[in-house]
Amino acid sequence: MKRRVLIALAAACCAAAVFAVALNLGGQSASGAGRPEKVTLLLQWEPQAQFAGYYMALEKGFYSDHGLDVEIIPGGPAIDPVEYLKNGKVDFATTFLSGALTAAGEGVALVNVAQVVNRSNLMIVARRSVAKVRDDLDGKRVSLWGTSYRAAYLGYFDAAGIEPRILPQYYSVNLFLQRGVAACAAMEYNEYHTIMQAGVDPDELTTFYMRDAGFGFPEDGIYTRAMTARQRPGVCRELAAASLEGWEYCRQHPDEALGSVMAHAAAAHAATNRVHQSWMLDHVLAAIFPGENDGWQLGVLSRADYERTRTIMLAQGLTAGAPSYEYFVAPGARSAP
Amino acid sequence: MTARRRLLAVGAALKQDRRACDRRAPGSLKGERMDVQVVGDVTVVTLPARVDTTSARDVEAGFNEQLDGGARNLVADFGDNEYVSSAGLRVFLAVLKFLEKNEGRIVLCAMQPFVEDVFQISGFSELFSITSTREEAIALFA
Amino acid sequence: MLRNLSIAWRITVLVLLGASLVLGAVSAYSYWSARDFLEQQKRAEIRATAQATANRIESVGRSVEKVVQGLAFSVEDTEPGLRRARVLLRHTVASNEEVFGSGIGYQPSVYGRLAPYVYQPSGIYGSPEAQGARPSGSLVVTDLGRGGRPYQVEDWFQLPVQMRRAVWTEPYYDAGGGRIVMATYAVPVHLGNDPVPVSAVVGGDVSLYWLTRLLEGLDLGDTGYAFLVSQTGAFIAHPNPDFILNESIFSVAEARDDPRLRAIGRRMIAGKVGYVAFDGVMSLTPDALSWLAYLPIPSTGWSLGIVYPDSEINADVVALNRIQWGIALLGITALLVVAMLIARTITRPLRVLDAATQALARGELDAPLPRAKGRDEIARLTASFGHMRDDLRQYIDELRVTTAARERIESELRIAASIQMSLVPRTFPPYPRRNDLELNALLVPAREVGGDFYDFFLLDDDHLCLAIADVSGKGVPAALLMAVTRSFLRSFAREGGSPGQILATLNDELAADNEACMFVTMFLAVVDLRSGAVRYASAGHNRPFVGGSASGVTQLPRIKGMALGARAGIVYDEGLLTLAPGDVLYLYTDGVSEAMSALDEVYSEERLGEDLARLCAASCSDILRALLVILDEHAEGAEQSDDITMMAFRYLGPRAAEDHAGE
Repeated sequence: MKRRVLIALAAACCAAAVFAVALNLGGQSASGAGRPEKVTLLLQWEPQAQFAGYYMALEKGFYSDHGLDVEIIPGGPAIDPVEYLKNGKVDFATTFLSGALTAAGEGVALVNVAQVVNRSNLMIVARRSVAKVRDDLDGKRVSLWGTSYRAAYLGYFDAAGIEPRILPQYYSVNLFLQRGVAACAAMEYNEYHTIMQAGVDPDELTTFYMRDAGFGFPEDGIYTRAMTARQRPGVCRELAAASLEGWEYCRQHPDEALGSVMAHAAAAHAATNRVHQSWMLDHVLAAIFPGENDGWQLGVLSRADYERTRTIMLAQGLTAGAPSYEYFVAPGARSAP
Repeated sequence: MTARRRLLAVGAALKQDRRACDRRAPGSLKGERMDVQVVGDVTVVTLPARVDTTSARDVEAGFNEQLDGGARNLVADFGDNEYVSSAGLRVFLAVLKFLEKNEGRIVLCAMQPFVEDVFQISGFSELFSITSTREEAIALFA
Repeated sequence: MLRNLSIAWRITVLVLLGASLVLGAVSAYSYWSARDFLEQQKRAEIRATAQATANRIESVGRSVEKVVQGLAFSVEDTEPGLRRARVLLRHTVASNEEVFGSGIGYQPSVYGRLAPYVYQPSGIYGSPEAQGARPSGSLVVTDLGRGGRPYQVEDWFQLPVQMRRAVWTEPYYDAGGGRIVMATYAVPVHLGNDPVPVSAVVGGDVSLYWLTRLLEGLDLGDTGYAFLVSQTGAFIAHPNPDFILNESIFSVAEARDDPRLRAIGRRMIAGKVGYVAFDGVMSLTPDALSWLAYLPIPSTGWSLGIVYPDSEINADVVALNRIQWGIALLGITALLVVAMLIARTITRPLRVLDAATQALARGELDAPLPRAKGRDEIARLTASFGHMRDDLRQYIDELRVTTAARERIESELRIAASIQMSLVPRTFPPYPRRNDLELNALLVPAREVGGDFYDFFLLDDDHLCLAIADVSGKGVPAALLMAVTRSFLRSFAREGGSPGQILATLNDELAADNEACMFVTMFLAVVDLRSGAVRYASAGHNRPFVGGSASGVTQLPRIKGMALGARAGIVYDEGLLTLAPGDVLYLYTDGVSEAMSALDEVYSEERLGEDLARLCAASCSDILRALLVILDEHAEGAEQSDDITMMAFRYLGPRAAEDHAGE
């Protein structure tokens, strides 16, 4: 008899708590209106830990907390985020700063609502037997990704005064693994680990980090058309905030984040494994959240970084022109003056 | 007088019993056979070293064997003998008595001094012919 | 502890122990040697399987290479247009079952996006998923440039273009083509005067689905498995489908933090051959100890691995061992039964014998014995036991007879002893009122009563008769003769006469009816107590000693007289001597003089005389007792063979006139 009463009491408390939470959640609304805003977010590649924050923001309800009903669209080799933004196929998309600057040069007005990945992960991985120091790359076959991604590398080679023979690099490092090139472009959080997972030991490689050579540019950011930024600033703000909250959640719950990433990858038939995604997550988080000695702020594209990137890209002819900082960066992503 | 006769009767009866007892006494055969030689019609019996209570029966049996076998001319050779007890003397007395009743004769010979002494003291030396040597004893039968 | 078990159990236990030890040793040895042997067998088997499988895969790889190279040559040589190209491709795919699909990717910069592709969805190398709605046997013609991703960025195009040589691509999932996991052999061709180094890439696809089927079909026991890794170590065939293309041997090593596995992977992708122990690659967590045999597929650059859990290798050995132990157990059980049966055939007759023995011990001499069957030890034991029992019965019967006889003899001896003792006077001093004489005598009979006796009696107030006698023979007859002799002696002595006459009469009486030829030696003396004169006669008896401290001790001279009872009509001489007051007359039998020591020494009359000379001053009883002690010492423990009889008489001088009372 007593037990039944206690159970009923507990159930009542739970119900009340849930109700309160629901009310609470429902109460939060960015624009004050009750209905959440529908937005689409394109991720620039196939599902991987590079986008874990967005998945978590969606799954953990951070987007809906911020009044957003977000649909995440996975990218891939056939999908160009800039093109999708330009054509209005998606509201928001993630892409590299360099890619956005190139698009700006082509007249596509994009606005950065959040600079998520602030630290550069670009590197050159070379066979140690072929190149031990940077200057050894002179004249060697080096594969690099397409135009907008080359910015840092070209600046790097220029500054070093070396002229490697550049070959195109697409979606694998097999050319490098099959010794078709002496060195290849790699993201520290991705291709570098892929190469190690192909059986190459680090002591067989020489690594050149762009960020160590002064050519580290911020990378992933959330972009939208300038028009969208003007018309829906609140949405931009909320999306940025929620996304960063998602990333924070990943930092606190890496295993859960990895689980979600693996599920998304499996659904997309993407070939990957958990240790690779774990490596990726660790390095991406390190590139998002500033450490003690790091100079950036979370989610903010600093003016200095922007200016530097723009300058080098202009010098390399990788962009025709780029707007001013204020124009390019949404207020929420700007650094303090 | 009557007492004497009664005593004699008792004595005779006792003698009878004695004989019966004697016959019933358990034997203690040692199985030793005396050396017997026949020289002509003379039977020469060589006595063992001791003729005492233990061996008297064997000696007697040996003599009886000869007597039952018809020997009547006996020579007892004491050459090997060192000791004769009263039981031994008894045996010789019995043999002598038998031979006297059966027209026989026994001569003792080759006695050691101690043994001869025994015969002397007991007075039996007068009952027996005693010679020094066997040959002399045999010769007496010639 | 073993001693307390019955023989049956002891035999059984020992036999079983021995058998178990032997079996255990045999099993252990066979286990270890079988293990080694089987391990080697298994290793050879694995290697052979691996080689055969590798050869199979290699042959497919090689044949695809040949086909594609042939096609590439054709293309380069004939520079076909699109239609002709398609014909070529159809032919290639149709006539080569290893080739799942084949295509030509033209350099877009020269030809635009053009990539005809033909594939065979079904067939033994196709996958069921790819069959789609098409009936089996029909080929699909398509163009890779249409829709999907640009083919020119694919590895199968880029690698030959950049490296200017034929390559095997890494396996990949081709969503645009056959929607299967495949690997492509791609050959660059140059057509005509194209301004680019590579005009097109001719490729042939191998479906990897059949690889998995092939590896599954290998007979690798219950828990063995095989896998295939690509040039980068990625799994392209694996029993765990989730691993295929997703994991590589290096990712598994990284997940487990296992540098050993990584090293193995590096050796595999380096095209080495090996046989190592490792923790398996079935899952991201380490398995039980396993053995990996790996060898390369040279054409494609892959590496084949065949895995055997260590327990699988041992499974055969363990199974063998189990069977062995099963048989051993059965054997031991059978042994147990047999041993018990045998033991029983031994112990049953033993138990019966035991029961019979106990019955025998209780006196039941007729207890049944087991029948002795056969001629083994048990039978002999039983027969011996039976003989022993029969002998025992006989012995007991004889013993009964002899015991009865002996008891009779013993009783007779007791009778004789009692007769003897009753006939000798034993009261000393015999005439306490008389002061003219001192007299003591003793008789210590031998075990077998010897018939000695002594006697003394007053013939009248002034004449004392002393006698000592030795009856020839022993036992009851001697005792009876002694009794008779004593009776006659007293009777004849009282009739009067001298000692010689008395002896003569006694002799005649005893000689009559003396069939037993027994005789009695006797010394007879009559003492005139007024004067000390002694008349004596001897019937073959030991010469007494006489003497006193003053005159010394001498032995009486020899006098003629034959032992009593030998012959009638003997005349007995007489002797005469006079005793001074204080002189002792010592009478004895040859039980004294011929007392034997343990070393067969006789005491002798000489020594008797010497000892008497020493003792003659003592009282009669003292003299006798002392002599007894001396005799005892002389005997040194030897048994007394004859009665010890002695008498000592001392003449004290004529009686005072007043002393009349006496007898």
